[in-house]
Amino acid sequence: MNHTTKNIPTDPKNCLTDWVPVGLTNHIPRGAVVRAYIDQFDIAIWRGEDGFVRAWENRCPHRGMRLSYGFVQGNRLTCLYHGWTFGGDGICHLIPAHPDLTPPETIHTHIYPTCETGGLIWVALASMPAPAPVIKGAWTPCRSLHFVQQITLAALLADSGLSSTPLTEYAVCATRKNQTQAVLAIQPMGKHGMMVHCSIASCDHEAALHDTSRWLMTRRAKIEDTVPE
Amino acid sequence: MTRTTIDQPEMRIDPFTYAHWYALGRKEDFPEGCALNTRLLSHSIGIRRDTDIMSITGPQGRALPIQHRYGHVWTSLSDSPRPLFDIPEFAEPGRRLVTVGGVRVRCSGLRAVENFLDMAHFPFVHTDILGVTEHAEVKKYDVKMDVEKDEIWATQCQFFQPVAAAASVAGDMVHYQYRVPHPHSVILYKSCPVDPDAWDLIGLFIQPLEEEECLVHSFLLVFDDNNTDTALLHFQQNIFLQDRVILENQVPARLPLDPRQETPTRADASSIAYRRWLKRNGVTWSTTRGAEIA
Ligand code: FES
Ligand SMILES: [Fe+2]
Repeated sequence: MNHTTKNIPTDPKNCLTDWVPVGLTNHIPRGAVVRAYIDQFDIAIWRGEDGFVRAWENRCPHRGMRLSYGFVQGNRLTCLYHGWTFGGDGICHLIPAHPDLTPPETIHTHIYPTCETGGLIWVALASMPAPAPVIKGAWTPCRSLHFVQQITLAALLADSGLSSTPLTEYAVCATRKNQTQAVLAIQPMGKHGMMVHCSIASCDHEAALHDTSRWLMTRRAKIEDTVPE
Repeated sequence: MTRTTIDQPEMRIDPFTYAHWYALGRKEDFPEGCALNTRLLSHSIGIRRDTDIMSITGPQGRALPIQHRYGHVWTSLSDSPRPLFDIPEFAEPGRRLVTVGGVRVRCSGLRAVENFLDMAHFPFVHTDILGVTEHAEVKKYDVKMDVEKDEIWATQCQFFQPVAAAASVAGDMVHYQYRVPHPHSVILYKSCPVDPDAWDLIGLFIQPLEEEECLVHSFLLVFDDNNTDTALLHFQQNIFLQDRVILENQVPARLPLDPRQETPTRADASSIAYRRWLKRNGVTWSTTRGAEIA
């Protein structure tokens, strides 16, 4: 009966305890910032010149502007609205309206831990996350595909003829009939559906990238009952 | 609580918001013979114009009051609205009125007022037009309440602008005053590029459609003789489209009135005063407070 608009994700720790894949490692080059959803949570993800990936709540502490509209300079992110500039640790270093002021350290963004493994970027929303995943071997980013509906990994792989070993709650290592090895990972995005990210074992050839990408599209077409691209 | 709050959404509108007049557009937006529907504070309202006579109907076909002022048509859901604020400059000679027409924005109208009051964003959002990043400083300005009129004034505002108005040729320190006489209306008084002793006016009359959607009607009342209406209109439209990107990407979409929810600095003195004034007047509509109470 009472409806509460929950605009601000205050404490997502009860929602997701595991690490969630948010994209392929090459999706975010140095100096880039993108927007990603994990369930209903809106996240700004960016990579500094130092190569490290940061994930922040997509809301500037000043006046709430989405930080994914900001720009990266060096290892800092600047908000588009008033130019407040935050270091990689989320702490505000510069308020251009008051150039002589050293901002108090209490002004900072809400940061989430990140890691990169298996050709993927991972984010943990929980304040006490599980240990970061480690996927052994070298992996080449292959394809990210949007699905309208959120489904489980089991449903994604059902009747596909693949043999798979679970890696995390959101990822499996799958071996196709042609022996190509792939990491298949799902990113749940609530009402926005989901992303499926796929990387393949680095020793496989260029042809395997195209072939696996096509396989994934065919898979989606079958699940969503549409014609592949 | 009974179900009446659901059947009569006006019950959810705080009395201060409910009691005001709101602009719906310019008379020319409603051509003769037209009958169209719009929204005001989450209510459907109908606007008819037969020959020169306009009529506005609200919920359950109730006739709503109407007045024509400041180049716009105004109405109110209330049967006894508070008087519409006075803008004496409209009666003074020498200025020219240019109305821009409504622009729909998916945000709280209160966020749009606050954005209009804000100088600190000029270098970043209106880069090389209303500000440059090398001169981003917001010098101290005064904010005061006009208790008698129950409105906010920000005075002694100044900011470095490379192109302050369509009529300016070089960068300059521009002087401003801001006036908030109404929760959804705001007027900027800007030192005039053709006559430094005079003020040009730019203002917003916001029509709140829903709590997170509004139609922004804006005007210019200026001394500028060098630019055509179209040039002034384009200047203003261009600026506003830059603001729209911001307004549609602020989280939450509704204005937070709790000071702990966001982090103001001294440059935000006018916004702080505005939020306090809304809170003191019991405004919940289009604020995060409203979302908690609903
Ligand atoms: S909202 Fe980010 S700097 Fe103002
Ligand atoms: Fe602006």
